[in-house]
Amino acid sequence: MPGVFGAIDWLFIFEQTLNEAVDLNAIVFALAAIGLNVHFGYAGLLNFGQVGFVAAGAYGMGLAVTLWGLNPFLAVVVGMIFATIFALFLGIPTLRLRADYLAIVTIASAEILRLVARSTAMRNITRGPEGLNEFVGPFRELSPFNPSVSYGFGPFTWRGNQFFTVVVGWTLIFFFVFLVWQLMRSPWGRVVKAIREDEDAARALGKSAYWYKLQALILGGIIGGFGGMMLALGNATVQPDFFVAPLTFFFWLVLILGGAGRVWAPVLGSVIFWGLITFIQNLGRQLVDAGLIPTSIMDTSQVDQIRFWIVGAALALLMIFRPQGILGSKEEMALDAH
Amino acid sequence: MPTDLEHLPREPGVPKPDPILVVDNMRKRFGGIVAVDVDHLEIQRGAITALIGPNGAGKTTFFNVLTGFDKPDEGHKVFDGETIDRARPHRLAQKGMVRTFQLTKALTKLAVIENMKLGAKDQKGENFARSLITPIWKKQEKEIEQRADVLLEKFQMDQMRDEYAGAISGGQRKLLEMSRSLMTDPKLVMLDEPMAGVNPALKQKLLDHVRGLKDQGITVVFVEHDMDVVQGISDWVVVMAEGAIIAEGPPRSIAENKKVIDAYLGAHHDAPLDLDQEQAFLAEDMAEEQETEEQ
Ligand SMILES: Nc1ncnc2c1ncn2[C@@H]1O[C@H](COP(=O)(O)OP(=O)(O)O)[C@@H](O)[C@H]1O
Ligand SMILES: [Mg+2]
Repeated sequence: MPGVFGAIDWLFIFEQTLNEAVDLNAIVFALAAIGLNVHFGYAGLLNFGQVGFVAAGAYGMGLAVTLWGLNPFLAVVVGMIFATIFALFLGIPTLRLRADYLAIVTIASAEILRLVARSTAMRNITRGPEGLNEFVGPFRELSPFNPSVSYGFGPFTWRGNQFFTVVVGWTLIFFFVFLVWQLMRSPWGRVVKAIREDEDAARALGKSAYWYKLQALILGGIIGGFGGMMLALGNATVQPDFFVAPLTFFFWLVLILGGAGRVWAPVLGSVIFWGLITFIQNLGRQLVDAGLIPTSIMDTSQVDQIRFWIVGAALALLMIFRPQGILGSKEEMALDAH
Repeated sequence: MPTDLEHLPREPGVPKPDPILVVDNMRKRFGGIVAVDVDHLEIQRGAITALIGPNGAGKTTFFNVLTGFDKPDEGHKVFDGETIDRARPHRLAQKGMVRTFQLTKALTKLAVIENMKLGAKDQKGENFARSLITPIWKKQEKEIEQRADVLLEKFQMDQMRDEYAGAISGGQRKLLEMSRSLMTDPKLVMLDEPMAGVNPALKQKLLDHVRGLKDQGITVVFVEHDMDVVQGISDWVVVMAEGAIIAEGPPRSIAENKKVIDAYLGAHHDAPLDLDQEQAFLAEDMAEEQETEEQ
């Protein structure tokens, strides 16, 4: 076997895998999934438009700079306000109704948001399909890191600006994980979890289900919005076509993989998801390049598609053998059967 | 205390000496059927009132309308001297009007003790901003927990305090729902079929607890099918049929009321069983079997 796999550069593959597992994509997905965990894992809200909150955060922050020339801190506040407005827009009409209404409205609204942002009618504001590209300067001025120097160690090495993004991103992740943990062990969290279990029972005990659901929707939306802001910061651009509907389902995948209703689940799910994707992609490419997978079966470009199949299959297996997710509790899962 | 109900006229809509709840011209339709059609009803403060009537009489719908879970087509209600026509369920609960459900609503993935603690009113830590700073709510949380533990002990549920509510038996969940509602410090407790599907031993315990509520000065309204149960603990009985109140009176007078017997027994055996009722009947059958076996 070493002979056959001798052509494979395992060190490179592992380095790539570890790097991607903590890099920008993993950060954005983790934040979006932390928000979704507040929605679904704790409050039981079916939000199928989390990508809309990510977009709202990214556009809010970007527009605050390009359109209104606000400083970075105010721009972040505007990003949060955009996410809040989106939450109110979705929540106020639907949260008094049955749970499925929110689900329907969220799918449609996230897509509408993207189409509006990319429409030519909005060109003067959102720059249409081109997106926002000139906002990152003031943020990078805040960076203490030299853009032309490499930071980190081993596989975890970034240029100054990227390193800034990674540091800020992981700081936010730890902050929001802590916030969610604190909230969910408090009486506020008890009400939210009770509403997830049975909204009418909570109402009969004097809790306004509507108000708590709205708060949870806003909170999870803002956290998702921070995912969008990190994305904008890391890529130095806000592209409308990044925020396509299927992305929401990757956020769900990440959450379910980790185990909904557990504080660390979205983070673990995101790290594993991006690590796995990168590992399969690099291994596949090298196998094809080394001729170990004949091009008659698959070429390098097809590897990129195959990786999602494999992740899908892995998730299907997980759902069979560990439906509660990696961190989820089997005991709690069993209660659903009643 | 409500001992003088004996001397009231035994007719639908009769005024009570000290009503906690007054209902006027309450109507609720579902398409063609009139589920609730109550001209006037008063519930005596501090008494145990039984609401009986055949399956489909509108008892649950009446509860829903009274507690704000359903909007009536028309009607007025006054609770403790205050008009509550437009109040939402959680506001009513905060005002002291708390209910349980015919289909038990235990919060399955919360521990029994957490179910209990949820019921407490005016919790500082239920405010988003204040929940973030533990010292603000820690002390109150301890007090609430102590109160919950006392209640659990009283209801003999202390040994399952840390179990998931979804993991205890159906009868125990009924008991939990009732004790949880007491955590709200209610003035009026409305129990929708609290004994349905509960085994006879637990049933007796539940009945004792309902009596205990009265001793604490809490007003109780409860829905029940079993006339024996009703005879045993209620001070006053209200009979519903086809949405309307057809009779009111002390328990003994009701058992002899021809109109009630007709309406009640007539429909009781003809009506198709719904799932709950079927379960209730099954439980009854099993109880009877057990009794015959013991003899
Ligand atoms: N949500 C609903 N939609 C349509 N009909 C209903 C609804 N709820 C109750 N009903 C009808 O209203 C009547 C009263 O039902 P209910 O209040 O459950 O009676 P009870 O509790 O006395 O058995 C029944 O005929 C029932 O079928
Ligand atoms: Mg009923």
